[in-house]
Amino acid sequence: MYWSSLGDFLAMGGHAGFVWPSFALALVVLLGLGWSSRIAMKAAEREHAEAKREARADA
Amino acid sequence: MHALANPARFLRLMAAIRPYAAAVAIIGLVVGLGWGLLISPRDYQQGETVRIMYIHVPSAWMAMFIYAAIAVSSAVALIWRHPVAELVAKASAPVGAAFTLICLVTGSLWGKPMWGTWWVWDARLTSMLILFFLYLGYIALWEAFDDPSRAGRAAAILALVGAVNLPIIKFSVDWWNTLHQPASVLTLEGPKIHPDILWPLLITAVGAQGYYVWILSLRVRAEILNRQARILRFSAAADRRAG
Repeated sequence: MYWSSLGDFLAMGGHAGFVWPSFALALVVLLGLGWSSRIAMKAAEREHAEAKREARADA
Repeated sequence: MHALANPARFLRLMAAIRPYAAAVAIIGLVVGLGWGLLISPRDYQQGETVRIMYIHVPSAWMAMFIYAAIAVSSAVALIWRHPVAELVAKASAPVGAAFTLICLVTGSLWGKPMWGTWWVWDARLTSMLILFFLYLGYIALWEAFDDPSRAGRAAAILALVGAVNLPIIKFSVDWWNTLHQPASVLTLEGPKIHPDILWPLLITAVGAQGYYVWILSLRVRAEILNRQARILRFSAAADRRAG
């Protein structure tokens, strides 16, 4: 372990204002994209099932 | 490659890969970034800000790697009319744009304490900003046409033309004067950075690749199912008119 205390870790040698926003941004962007991709896939699965049902009902 | 042109087979392959990609993403990112934050040393010049590198550098690599993947997929789609390649390219673009955004913003957050400025219009930063706009333009082109086959062709041509930007980004630090440091990992002489920093960097990069494949598998599935649904509705409407 590099850090001697939690306070040291959070302070990032006085650069907390630059280091933590970098990690927070990456977390938010990657989680957000994963979340929206999952929603898009679920929506596509529903749309596909519905189109299939309609096509079958027509036939 | 031709075996993968069958969308059903491609979907099965993607579904089989997905849990492994997710595991690589989660383990790689947690271990790599955890190591970078908790264990690896500070830089003797840059202090603790060097930890931004564990986000910034893998994001930059992914931004360029995904653009290259889009360009190659686009070429395959244009030349062989490969239906899946086109959708792989389309599904990749938001992931590439996300990594480019992370790279640009973290670069700015690193630049302020180290260079004294959030931004300079030098070759590396500007070419990276152009990459971001190429991603946005590529995504917008897909939405700009009602006919997906025309949208796909236009977007593929943009992706190929924009690929000239990739060597410009890579070599910008050698060709022009810049505040940005030169390559230190991917060099002909091998990596120039200490293993305590190189390892977490590489593990994070592997995790980021896993993340890309994971998200790609979700997005490609959405694209293929949407396209199949469109075809089903289209042919059902044609049947109704005929009948």
